[in-house]
Amino acid sequence: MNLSIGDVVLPGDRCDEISKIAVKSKVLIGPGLRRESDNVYITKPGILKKRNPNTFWVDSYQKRYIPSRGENIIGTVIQKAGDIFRVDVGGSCPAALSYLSFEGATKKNRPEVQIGDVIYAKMLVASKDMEPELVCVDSHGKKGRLGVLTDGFVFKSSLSLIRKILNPSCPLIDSLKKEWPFEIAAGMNGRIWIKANSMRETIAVGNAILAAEYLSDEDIKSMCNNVASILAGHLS
Amino acid sequence: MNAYIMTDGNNRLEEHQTIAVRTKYKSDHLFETSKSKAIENLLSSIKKPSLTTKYGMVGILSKMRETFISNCEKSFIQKIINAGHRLDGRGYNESRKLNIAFGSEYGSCFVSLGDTKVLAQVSCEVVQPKQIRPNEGILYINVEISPMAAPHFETNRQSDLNVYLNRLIEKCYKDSKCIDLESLCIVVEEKVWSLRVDIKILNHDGNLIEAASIATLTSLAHFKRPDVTRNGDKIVIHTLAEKDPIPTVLYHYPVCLTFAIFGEILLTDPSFIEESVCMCTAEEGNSGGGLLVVGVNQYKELCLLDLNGAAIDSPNIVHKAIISATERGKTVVEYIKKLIITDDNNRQKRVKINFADIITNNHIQSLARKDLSICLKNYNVNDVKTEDVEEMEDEEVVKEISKYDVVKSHPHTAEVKLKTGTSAWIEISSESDEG
Repeated sequence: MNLSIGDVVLPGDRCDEISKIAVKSKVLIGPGLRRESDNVYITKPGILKKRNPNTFWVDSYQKRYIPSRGENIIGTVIQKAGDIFRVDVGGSCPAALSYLSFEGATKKNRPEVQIGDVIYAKMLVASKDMEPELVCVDSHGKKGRLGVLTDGFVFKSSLSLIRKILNPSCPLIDSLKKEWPFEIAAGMNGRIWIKANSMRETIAVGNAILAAEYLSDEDIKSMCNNVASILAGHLS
Repeated sequence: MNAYIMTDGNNRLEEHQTIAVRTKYKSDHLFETSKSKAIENLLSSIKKPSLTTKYGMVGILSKMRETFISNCEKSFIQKIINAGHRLDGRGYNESRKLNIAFGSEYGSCFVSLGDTKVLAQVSCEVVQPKQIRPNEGILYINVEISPMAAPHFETNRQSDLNVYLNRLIEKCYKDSKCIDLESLCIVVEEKVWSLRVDIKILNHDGNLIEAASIATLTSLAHFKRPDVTRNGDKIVIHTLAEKDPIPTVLYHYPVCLTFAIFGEILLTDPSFIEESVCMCTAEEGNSGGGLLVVGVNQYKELCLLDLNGAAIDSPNIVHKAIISATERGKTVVEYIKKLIITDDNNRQKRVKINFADIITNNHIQSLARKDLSICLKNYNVNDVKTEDVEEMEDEEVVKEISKYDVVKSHPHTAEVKLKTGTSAWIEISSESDEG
């Protein structure tokens, strides 16, 4: 069976198209694909996607986070151990966050991080055999938007939902931000931090995000209207 | 009124006070002043040891909580509960949706309470009775929690939660004497039936106790053991085909219901995060927080009381919990009984019953989340779809089933028939589309 881009694929399927292109030029294969000698096989159920030039991956539903370098994640500090914090990111083992990797932190000037704090950080080291490592600064030593997130609420979702709402073409955040003000941080590890003026508004944001998982773009807009009207009290 | 207390025989669970009581009330005048005194006496017996040590009663559940709850989750949950909301849009007194399905054999059932899922199976064998009770059958309860339920559980290791659940369910079903064990006797001192209830937790989303107890009760009530005839010294166990199996005799139907205590507020059917936050606050010694398990039967009799967490300040909370537990207990038991009767009728008509029904029943809605973990009170998943019914051919359209059970749609599209409850895809040819 020939697989084409946009098809639903299952583990074990062989993708001849990729190996054909690979003969002529360089091909990048992403998650859900694996090369076995000259063939490329699917390893995850999902939708086969392609990005020019020659990057392939499988878009699948997943809840378990596998750390990968450069991703922004949200974690909870679970332990202070010497000069590092251990942060639970939802992966197979906790990630390490050095207290020096905060903006303006020195050996004498420690950042104020307590156990149980929620942290928005960047994955610096993510390899199969080592403990993942996080940083809260960019390469210029500035914190940007990274750091400790105070107040608000954190909830979990599937990894595919995070990718969906972070996609610039997704209307969810655009239509929600017109309705009422709120802050949001979405970690690629399937955690979302939200903060709004009132608790009801915070719940409404969470509700809208989770409800968007299986909706099309048009439905997302009407769902956002719906949530907004419930919040305003028109519907009861 | 006769109330007697059965305390834990060897006091194995010291840090964790439990009493099993079976009291008789007249149903509607549950807490008249004279009667409530007895409850207060009971309560004082719970409270005394716990007040001496501040952390005395925090024990078992605190160890099991291994998923880490962040500070902002804790404070947010506390705040919204104090403000009168719950994260998933329920009221304080509202439970999640209870779903019960039966397997192909007698005594196997699947219970889901929201996302908490439990499987129970009753099996029986002929064994020698215990020396002290030569004319009674044996009831054995076994709870299993595997990493399937939640990743922090380990395989082949009895966690504290496991022991706690096992003990609590044993207390609720063995000690309240709801099963007629004497009817399980075949030959005195030689052969009795031993019933074994295996409870497997499939998914942990809070309130395991309630789900497991409903599963136990349903499977016990549903179970039928093979008939036995005595022929001189010989005992013949008949197969199901030879003789109709015999149902277990249940004197009453107890169920355990859980309440999370947040200060003065009682939450029915706490979810995982509510349970965790509740136990966290109890651990830190802030305000009173804890889990109260109330066992009641369909006659509104109290069968079990169990408190886990900080000591309760006022007896009013327990009164409130018991009153709402009796109400819900009754509806749950009636629901179970109704299901068992319909299931029995179906089996007599030789309708095939198995767990596959659970999967296919909701087949067409597999992409619509029914239970959002975060939800506004008035939010309804289906609200979104009603706005554009015209363009979408989903289950909203299917509801107006025509006499052919086939719904008008675009040519050559698949449609869903809802009559049997299972989904079926029917190819519409261009001829039938005209009609």
